Amino acid sequence: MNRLINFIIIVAGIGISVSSGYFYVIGWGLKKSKAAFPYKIAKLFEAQNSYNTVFLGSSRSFNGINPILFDKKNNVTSFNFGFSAANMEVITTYTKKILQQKNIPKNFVFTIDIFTFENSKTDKLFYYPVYFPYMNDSVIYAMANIEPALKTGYYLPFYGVALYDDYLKTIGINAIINPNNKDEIYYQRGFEAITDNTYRGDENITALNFSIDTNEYLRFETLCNLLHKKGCSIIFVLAPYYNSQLPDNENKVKFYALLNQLKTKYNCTILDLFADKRFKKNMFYNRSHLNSQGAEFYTNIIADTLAPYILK
Amino acid sequence: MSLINSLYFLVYFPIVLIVFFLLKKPIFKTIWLLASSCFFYMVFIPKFILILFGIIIIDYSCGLLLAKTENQQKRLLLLSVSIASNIGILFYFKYFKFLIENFNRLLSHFSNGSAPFDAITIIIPLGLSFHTFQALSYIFEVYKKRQSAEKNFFVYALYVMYFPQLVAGPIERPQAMLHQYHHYLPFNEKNVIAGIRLMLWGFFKKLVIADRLAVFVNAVFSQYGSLHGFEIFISAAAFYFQIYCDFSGYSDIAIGASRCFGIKLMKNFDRPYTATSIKDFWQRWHLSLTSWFRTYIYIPLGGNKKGKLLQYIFIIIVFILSGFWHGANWTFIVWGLIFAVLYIVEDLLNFQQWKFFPTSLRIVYSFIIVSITWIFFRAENIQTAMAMTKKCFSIEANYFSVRGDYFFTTYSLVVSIAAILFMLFIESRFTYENTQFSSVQYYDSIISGLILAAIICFGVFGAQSFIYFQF
Repeated sequence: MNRLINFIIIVAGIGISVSSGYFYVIGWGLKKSKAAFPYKIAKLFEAQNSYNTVFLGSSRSFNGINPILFDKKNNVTSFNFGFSAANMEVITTYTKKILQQKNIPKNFVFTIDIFTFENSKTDKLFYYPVYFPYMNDSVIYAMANIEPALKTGYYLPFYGVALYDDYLKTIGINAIINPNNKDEIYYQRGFEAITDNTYRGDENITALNFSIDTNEYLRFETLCNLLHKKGCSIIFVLAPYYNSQLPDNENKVKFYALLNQLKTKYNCTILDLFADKRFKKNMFYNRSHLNSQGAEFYTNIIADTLAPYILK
Repeated sequence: MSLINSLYFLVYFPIVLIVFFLLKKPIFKTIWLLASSCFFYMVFIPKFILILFGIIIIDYSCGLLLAKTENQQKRLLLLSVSIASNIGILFYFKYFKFLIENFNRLLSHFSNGSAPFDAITIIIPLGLSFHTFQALSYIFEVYKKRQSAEKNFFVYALYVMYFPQLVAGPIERPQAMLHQYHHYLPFNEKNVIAGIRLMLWGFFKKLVIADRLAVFVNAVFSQYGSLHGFEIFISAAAFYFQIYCDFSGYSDIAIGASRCFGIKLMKNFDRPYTATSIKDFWQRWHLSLTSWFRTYIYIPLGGNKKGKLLQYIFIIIVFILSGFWHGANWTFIVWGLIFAVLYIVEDLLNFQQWKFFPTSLRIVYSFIIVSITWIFFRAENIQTAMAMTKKCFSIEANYFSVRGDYFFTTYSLVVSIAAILFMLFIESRFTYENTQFSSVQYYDSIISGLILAAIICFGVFGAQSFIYFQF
């Protein structure tokens, strides 16, 4: 029995102490490196929400909507709050956090698509607390109080410094890390265009089997209710997909029914560009992401079409 | 959802183990393990246990009746009842939906595109194919009189339901298991240490390698259209390691957990990535299933004793059945068929005797071929698999440029490669008979501790279930 007890003590002792040391070193490194780079979230809140319009969504917002162009056409000040891989949970969390700030933007533009209420394994790939646990800053801590799930991310391993390069890419912080470079003026509004102009081949749409998760929808409905009560304008933009001739299937029909339900209940505006034929192949980086040319075209359409619905 | 890949397992398993060793009489130990296995199974969908118990009662009764009668007609009838019950249940849950879908597809050509049958959704009980095959092996052995019928109902029920192997094998034979449930070994700390060590190793393979690679593999397989051939091949190779680490990781956990109780389970894998041919691969991959098909399908059909042509036909039958066993999808059937063709071609060319072909090249050859074959296993449908395979062999601008921000972070890449190299190193010196990472006891404990640390630091938690649980 002694041998077993010794084995357990040694294994547990080494396992816990080595992993604790690892997290401590990584956590320390993050804190050190954090000072060197401003965060997109922090950037927005530093400005105390002096923005009239915010764009929320995933990379299709982050890479697709240029706030400078939008502002010129509508004479407002907007901020692109898109994050690569952001799912509905992340978007909801950020929106709630924005609503806690002193000045609330009047217009909330959500870039969505028919897979928005999907809760498949693919979504789990980017499940926020698991894949971005190293977002170790005060805003995340504050948000953890709103979304208990984020606390898991806080207490789980901080992958940290070793990930920093990935971190910048994934979260989109690179959009604003170089404020001294005037060429990167777009980035100050949280937008990053994809400069690669090569569409890399048609893609087989394999996503027909997605399923709509009622909880994801309810999460979004609660948010719309909150925004509606605050008097904000809620706008949905269905981002373009290249060659997205999805046949009408049960889920697609259900998605549009849910969207129209939100529209009726909360007086939302919908701009559906999902299968818009004006988006040509040379405007795409891949099936779901626009390149810089496409982003400009997309922003102009949004700015022109939404002009009557933007609260000043 | 299964207990084995949740944190509750850390509570469940020690309790089951401690109570097991506190009990003195073998029958109480058996009942305790059976009750624990029922709980384990019911965590998924509780009502399915009624089906499992129904089948257990039928097979147990048929086994007893087979032992009592010498009348060949009666014996054949009892065997048929048992097979029909097992295969019937398996067919309904696993293949009925597939049958309806294919009927609809076929008949829609003659009925203006409308589907004659309504689409159905059936939830498959956890590990159905595994415990069905284990139950069938019992009835076959009793019928062949190579195993006496088990009189104790609890022992037979435990043979089918024993929780470490219930959901994903290894698929055992009654000769190897039943006597162990009558004569339990006394508590042996060496066994418990070896078991914990194996379980740690299994969790390392599952959480650090398989689940991390899954992020990349899932992304590529869902967006292959915009990727190049080399990227697809890399993802197929990554899937090879993913499924190996996932399934063999589970087997290690099962064998390790079982060893803690003093119960020995068979080895299920033998470093398949070092296979030097397709034939060699199947002597290293999912050994318990391969052995099952050989014993109960291939040899009864005639094996290699009826001439080459018939032998090849039997090989095709076995591989197709093996593919179909994995799932009700044409992809699995084609996957099995491809292996059958490769197996036969190698045999015709007498590939294993090619002395000018060095072992290292043989390993590379097998690895590439098997990796590409996995595309059919992983793809959602035949069209996708074909398109991906075609891309693998295309010569247009083949380079690796998968964008890190969408598919695979540099960090995950570094962790995965380091973990795979570590696995290759450890498994080159590790045997199931002597599950030690080092022959020096002190070093062995230190390495085990470092593996635990690696799981905590680099494991991906809560992301994926075990792939083979669905079968």
